[in-house]
Amino acid sequence: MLDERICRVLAENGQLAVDPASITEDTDLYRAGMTSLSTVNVMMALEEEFSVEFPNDMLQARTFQCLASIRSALEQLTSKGGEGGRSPG
Amino acid sequence: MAARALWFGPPSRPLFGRFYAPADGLARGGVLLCPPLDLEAQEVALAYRRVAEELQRRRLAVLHFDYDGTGDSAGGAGDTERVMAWQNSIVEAVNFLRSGGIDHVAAIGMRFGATLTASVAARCGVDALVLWDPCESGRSYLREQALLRAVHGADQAIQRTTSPGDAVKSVETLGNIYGAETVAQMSALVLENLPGPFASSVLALLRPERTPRRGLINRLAQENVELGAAPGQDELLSAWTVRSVVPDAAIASVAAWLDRLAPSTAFPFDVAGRTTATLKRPGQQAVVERVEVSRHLGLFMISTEPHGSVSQPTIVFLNSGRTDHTGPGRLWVDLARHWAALGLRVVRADLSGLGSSPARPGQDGDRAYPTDAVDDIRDIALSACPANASDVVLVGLCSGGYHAAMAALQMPVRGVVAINPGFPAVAGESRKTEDIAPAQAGPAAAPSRPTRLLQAKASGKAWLRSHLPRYDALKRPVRMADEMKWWVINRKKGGTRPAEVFKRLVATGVTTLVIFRPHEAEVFTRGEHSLFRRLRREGSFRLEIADGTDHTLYFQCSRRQIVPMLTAFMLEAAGSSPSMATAEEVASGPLVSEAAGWSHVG
Repeated sequence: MLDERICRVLAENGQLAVDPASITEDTDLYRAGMTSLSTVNVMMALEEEFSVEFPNDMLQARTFQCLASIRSALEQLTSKGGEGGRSPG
Repeated sequence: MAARALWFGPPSRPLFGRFYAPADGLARGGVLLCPPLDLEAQEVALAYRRVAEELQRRRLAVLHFDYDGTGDSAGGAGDTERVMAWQNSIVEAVNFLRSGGIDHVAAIGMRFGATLTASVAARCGVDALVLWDPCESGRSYLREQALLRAVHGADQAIQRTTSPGDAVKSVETLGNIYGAETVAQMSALVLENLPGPFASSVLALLRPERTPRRGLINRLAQENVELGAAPGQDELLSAWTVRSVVPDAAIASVAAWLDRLAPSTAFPFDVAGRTTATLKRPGQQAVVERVEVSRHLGLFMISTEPHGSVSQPTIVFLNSGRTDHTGPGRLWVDLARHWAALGLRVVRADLSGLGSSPARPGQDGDRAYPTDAVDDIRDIALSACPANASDVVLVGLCSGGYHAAMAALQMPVRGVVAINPGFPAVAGESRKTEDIAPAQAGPAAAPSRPTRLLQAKASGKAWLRSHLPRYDALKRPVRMADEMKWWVINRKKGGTRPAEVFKRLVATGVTTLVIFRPHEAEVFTRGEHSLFRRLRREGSFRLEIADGTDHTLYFQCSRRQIVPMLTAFMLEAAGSSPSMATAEEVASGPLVSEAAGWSHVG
């Protein structure tokens, strides 16, 4: 379910050059066409979808490199309870 | 249509603007163009120029200005109270238009420029406001920029996010760095929390690729805002100015909306403005900046020189790619003011069709490699140094480095500085792959495929070197064969060979400094090592390899390396003089956007 939601966000925001259905756990999203700007779009869409906020130390290329790294980051944020929750602005 | 470049606002802190207005001095109203910050401001510059030209055709007077500490205005990103200074800049700009007899004033703000403009729109009493792809807050802007920088850095094999001494809470964007105080002030500015109403008429154009927060939509609903789409923002803000695409559809809808709201009758106006600004940084000599145009082609130039005596040669900064005369992340502005304070005369200019210069008749402009670039440079040099046009040093990055070298082959100049020069025949090749940096290739990196191949190759070499004591000796014949292979390829593939260009420069007595980042050095010197070795033995040619730097010099770590090299070269070109810089001054230089406070001297 989590992966499906992430994949939907990637399909809508990642500007991928490959069929989003073909994305596997370890597909390198940058190699699949995700640019620096679409990474920002993906980050913002994930925050909206999961009602979380990536902390500064997660604003790194590796966080958004593949499905597994995104899932791992989201799991960390949601398991920490309020810490990954949104703050205004 | 040409703009009038001018400084306005308080003489103690002049702001720079480009004023577009109907030639007959009659306007229906005024429009203020409030730019985004940092790299986004440079990416948007051409789009704003198109907006201004479109509104000018509709009989509106337009001011596209730079906030305090940005562009060609006084000040620096390292100054205090940045947010207040940017807000005050907007107020000053509105007052400037009104002081010229323009009563109806609208404002357009894009990205964080929209957030800032909304925060002072009521105070200025603007009649209409366009929030174009606004940032929800300063914090959201900084977070976006931090991620953009991280991904861009990984692709350029730049790993360092902060440098020793950087404040922990500072944020580095592409081309800039904000200290903790500014970060806190920016973060406190939240669009949905701003008191209203902003203006009697507000148009908000939101990026269709992004879902706005519910709170923002609710806030805009209270304003009775007209909501619309901002198509083309992803293409406009591409993180590489060379790839930015002007959003024609959005420009048309913004112009139509403002046209509809403006009064139908035109009134006479007469705005003042200054073509010179005197600036001073604590502890340094005052410098004078002047807006100039080239003699024959009317190209845009700003000269910066010391208040007192001037040392030769004159230094001329050229455009890099499609970036305007302010240089990558404002580097040319900061260096021009720093070097002028050390006694040099510096000119930053726009080639035809770039920045604030008009395109040549029949040409579109906005090309990184204008067809007549050498003629443009000849005109700029002649205008910059009329007494002796050959006493100039041309400085360029990427396409600017190429243009500097090619111009120096066709006109006499004192020197050339080419930083990561973008020779068209090899430029794509040199940029599509990145530094060989196996030690830096951690999990954070998201390098391109060629980068990974180069990194794997370098790792393999390192392993062999550590396990085979005679590896280097054994490898020598392979290297020689490789060199011969590239020697043949370079001569067969046609185009301008960089090594040949530099050889001809040296032969004509042009003092030349070439700075490459490692990967570009490898691409440019393969098959040419013996020639480059011969050139390096010449006193007038210097080749520097700058490790851990990026192609476009957006990263502070790149500037920390390159600025001292450039400053030392310029001072050497000018000859030693007691008024010249100390070693410390050369080494510190303006670490670019950290450069604090160029303000007016009385």
